[in-house]
Amino acid sequence: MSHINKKNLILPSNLYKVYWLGRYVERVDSVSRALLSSLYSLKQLKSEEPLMALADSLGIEFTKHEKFIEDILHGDIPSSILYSVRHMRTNAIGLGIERLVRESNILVIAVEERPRLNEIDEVIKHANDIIAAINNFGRVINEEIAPPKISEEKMRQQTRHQQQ
Amino acid sequence: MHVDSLPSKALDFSKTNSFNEAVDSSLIIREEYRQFFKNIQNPKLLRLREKAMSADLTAYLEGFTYNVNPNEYNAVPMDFVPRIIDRKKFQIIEDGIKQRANALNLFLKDVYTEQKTIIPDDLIFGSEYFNPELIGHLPKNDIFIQVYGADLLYNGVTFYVIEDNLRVPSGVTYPLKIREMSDRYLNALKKGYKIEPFKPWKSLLETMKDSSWVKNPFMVLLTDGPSGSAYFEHMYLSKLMNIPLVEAGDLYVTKSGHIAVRVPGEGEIQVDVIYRRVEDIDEFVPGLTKAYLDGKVALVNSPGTGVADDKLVYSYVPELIRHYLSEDPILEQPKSYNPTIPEELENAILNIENLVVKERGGYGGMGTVIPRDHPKSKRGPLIEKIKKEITEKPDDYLLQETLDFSTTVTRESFSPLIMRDSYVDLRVFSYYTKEGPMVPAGGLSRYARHGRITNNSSGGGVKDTWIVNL
Repeated sequence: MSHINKKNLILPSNLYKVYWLGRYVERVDSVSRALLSSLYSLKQLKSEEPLMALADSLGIEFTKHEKFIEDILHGDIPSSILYSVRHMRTNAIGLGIERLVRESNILVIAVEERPRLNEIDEVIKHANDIIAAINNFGRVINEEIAPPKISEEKMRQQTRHQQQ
Repeated sequence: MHVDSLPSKALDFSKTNSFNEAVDSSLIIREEYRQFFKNIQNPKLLRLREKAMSADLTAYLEGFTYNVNPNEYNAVPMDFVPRIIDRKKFQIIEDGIKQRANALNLFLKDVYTEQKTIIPDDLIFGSEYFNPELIGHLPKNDIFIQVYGADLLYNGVTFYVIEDNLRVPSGVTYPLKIREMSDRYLNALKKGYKIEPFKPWKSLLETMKDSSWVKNPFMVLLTDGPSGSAYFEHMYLSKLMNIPLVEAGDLYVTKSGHIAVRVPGEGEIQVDVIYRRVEDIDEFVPGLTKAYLDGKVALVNSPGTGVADDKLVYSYVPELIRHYLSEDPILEQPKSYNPTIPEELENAILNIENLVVKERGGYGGMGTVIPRDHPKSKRGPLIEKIKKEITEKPDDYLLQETLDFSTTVTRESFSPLIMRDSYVDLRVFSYYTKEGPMVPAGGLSRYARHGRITNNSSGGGVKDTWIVNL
């Protein structure tokens, strides 16, 4: 039982947190982008249809677009962006990587901002801010967790060095 | 140094009847705090307000939280004005806590082996924390309570122990985090002080190693997970001790009855010591109590220790000290009334307005009522309600005299300098090694932001505690 290196163990609970952290990052990113694109349609084409389609895909009842925007941004429902970023933060805290905790908190603070829902430009700016913050968070994950990037050329050389 | 030497309105005192640890009744700043006030007014110390704000924000962003409910994210309110205690005074606390740790540990040994304690049987066996599975079991070195946290109040003359925490006492990392933030942003406030090092994790590691039958034990810290109220502490401690932080799903009982940690794709590693920061251990790791009783794993603390921090048992601690150690208690505790004893119930009812009412199973200030702190208009009905409850369910309560305890100064603002007086308590920790209990120099000072209740779970803030040689 004792042949495994006891330092830097990869525990099941940590794998689970990494998995969910990634899923929430993707969810925030995709929902924010879909929301932004629907908001542009609302602004430029005066069409609520993309917002209604988005609501449908997320299982949120659509009555008025202001209410839907509030639900998708801050609602206490699993498809809201705030719900996702808070759970993302819980997983970051669980992993104990200080920089991820810090950046996820900054993201939560960004999402918690309350734009005036009847001011479409303000809501668009808010959605853009969230996308910028989630992009930044992705960059931090890369810097903290991802292995160093190696160029394709170097990789080709490595293949030659495998001496098969 | 008189407070008049400070900028006007720098100190806002409202609790004039209580002993203030920083300023005496003639408004002279006490010796312990004199240098601190000089430091804080040093004209070379620039941007103090911004530094304090940075420290607050950094701690918040780094997850320094205490969350009463799982989905909350509440920063622990920190104060960078430390509680400063002279070594001579702390020595009394240290000696008293060691004495108490010894007596409580002997009591637990007695409860689970000889069963010849001086406490009525129905109090022990009727306690929800009495664990019959432990009868006849002795942990290594006969130590049940490796980690013990005692809550103390000071009245200007002596320290009183108001509560013993023997299950999973928390809060030891809070002063560490404040000290870390102070070192980073506000180090100049320490100028002129020789503060004794506070490194409780070293004592904890030692006590964990001592608890194991194995020579080089593999040790882990078992947490209830990131949604738990004290996760910050669990993570912080595991990093300081350089041991894995594990959750329920990481551990399981092997075929041989040992406890192992699962390493996906690689196998398992036998765990020898678990510092468990969960109460219901078998809920988290089914079979853990059995593995412990079979000697396959050591647990810090042992299951069943809660019977010794039962609030009704607490009222007997001075007698336990005399009985097991043949010594007089070094530390006082407030006069308690045990409602299961008819005369004490009668006295408590007569005097109820001046007592603190505690639920027997309460913790962290929850279930505690101080009638004196309620507005006079509402006090009557409240007292009648309490009288009824303690008469009907005497087993569920303990009553204590209300102490006039000390206040100290807490930061309202560093620039402009505004401080106010707040009630403050002290949690001191003891780590029981094979050499005996060790009490690190320092502890968690908690201040009340409103009223007198200082517990974090009731909204209290935290301070670092400096032990200094004057």
